[in-house]
Amino acid sequence: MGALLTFEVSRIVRSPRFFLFTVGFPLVMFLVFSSVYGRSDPSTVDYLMISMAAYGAVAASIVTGSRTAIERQVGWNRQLRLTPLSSVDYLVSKVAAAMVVTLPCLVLVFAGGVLFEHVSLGVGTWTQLLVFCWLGVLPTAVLGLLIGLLATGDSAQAMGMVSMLALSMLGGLWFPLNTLPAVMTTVAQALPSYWLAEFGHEALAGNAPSLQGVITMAAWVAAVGALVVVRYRRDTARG
Amino acid sequence: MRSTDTVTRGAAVHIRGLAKHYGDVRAVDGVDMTIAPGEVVGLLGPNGAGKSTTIDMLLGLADPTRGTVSVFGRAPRDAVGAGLVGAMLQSGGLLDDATVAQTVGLFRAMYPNPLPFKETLARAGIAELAGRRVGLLSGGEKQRVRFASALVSDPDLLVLDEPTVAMDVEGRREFWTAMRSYTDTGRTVVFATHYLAEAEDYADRVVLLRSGQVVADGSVSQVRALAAGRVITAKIPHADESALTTLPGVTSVLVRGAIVELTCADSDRALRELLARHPQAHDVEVRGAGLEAAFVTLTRQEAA
Repeated sequence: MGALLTFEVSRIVRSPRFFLFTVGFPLVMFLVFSSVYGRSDPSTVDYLMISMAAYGAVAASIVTGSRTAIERQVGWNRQLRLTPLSSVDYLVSKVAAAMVVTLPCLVLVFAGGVLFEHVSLGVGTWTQLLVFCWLGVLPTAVLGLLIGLLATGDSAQAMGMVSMLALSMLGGLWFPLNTLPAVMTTVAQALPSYWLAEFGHEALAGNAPSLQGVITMAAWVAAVGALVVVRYRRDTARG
Repeated sequence: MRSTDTVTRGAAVHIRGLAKHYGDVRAVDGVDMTIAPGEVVGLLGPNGAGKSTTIDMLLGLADPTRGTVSVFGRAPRDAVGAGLVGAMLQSGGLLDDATVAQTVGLFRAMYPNPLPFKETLARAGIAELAGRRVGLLSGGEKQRVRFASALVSDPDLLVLDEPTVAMDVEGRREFWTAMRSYTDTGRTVVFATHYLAEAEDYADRVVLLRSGQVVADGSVSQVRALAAGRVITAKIPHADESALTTLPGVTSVLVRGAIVELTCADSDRALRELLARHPQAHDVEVRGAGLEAAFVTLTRQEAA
């Protein structure tokens, strides 16, 4: 199982496109936004840093999972089924790979905060921030895999893009929710992207993640994970 | 040898009453076949004859509608999981952005006792390609990477679906040389192919499929004999196909410009009449029907 995880990660990490667009883009957006809005107020910089890190994490995890569609299309999954690799090993490795490659997205935006925007936090807070945000990626990592198992090679990119934009906009990563009607906050609170950023804000304030957040995230992982299992079974039984 | 007891335990492949229906389409429709350990079996048939579907069921990639398949006495999935079966699928199955070493390395890591890495690459003839990305390889080179992936568990049964389809003549020759050294160690091989010459040259036994059923099963010479007869070729200017069809002893006629090809059940009679009726015929040749003729006769006869 470790072998498939290593294989997956090394393939993604060697892709220059992944680094440029998926990892680099959120950092650039963070630096642009904070130079426009954050000059007067350090708390705005903190807020933007977490929002853009969360956006990058959502994007990277969904993009990674949705690549599975192309692998299925070229018959890679059939080839894997001719080995002793179990379904559980396969699915867990895919989600774990998405989690691993998301880590640099988070680290890069946070590093940008330290180096360019003078964000200064204690080691404990940084650790908490990174760990909570990273665990908060799990629902979208599973969701990305679901897209990869549902889509065809052609539609995967579009499906991934739409999910990623919907989650980041409705989850309040691009616009502050308090400038929008209250119903938008209710919508956001049902989304894993909102709670991913919330975990970050809580960590910054020195708090543990809220119970509502943890429950919402767990519900997403359970529901999407169940769909992944059903879809994977159907995909392999198609013969 | 690790796997000798497994091999001697009985049939390598045992197929009984195998059928696979997709709605109204009977892709495989009642196939029986027993393959002994050490046999090299060529699976032949026109497109849609059920070769790939049979192979999918043999590998546990598809479940039969009816009938049973066992591989070394086990269910196909179990045999695959135990590393007894190596398979090379028709196309695809590789990721362009991984290197050859990463790909073969991944498959190795999934088995408890894989072949040594270098030996796997050497046997498949890709030792010098280890660092290359799969996407940059030629069709023939990719095919040898698939071959390496199939060999990695040192399987007792190797299943190949159209193994040389993307290769040039030289690549094909090298591939079969590599295969030979593998089958010489007494392993069982089942391969599907469109190239009848490959079945003729490399298979101990040929199974001919048509419309999901076995129409012939035997050694190459036995199957060839089923379509007993010879082929007459001649140059006849302005040949009339319908007139040629009426010649005695002729079963089918093919006219390509001035070149006429007559498949005959009785070539002696056909030849006498041919020369009598068409004195302008020249460059006449008579040869024994090859596997190809048997193939054409057997798969056409019953379709009519």
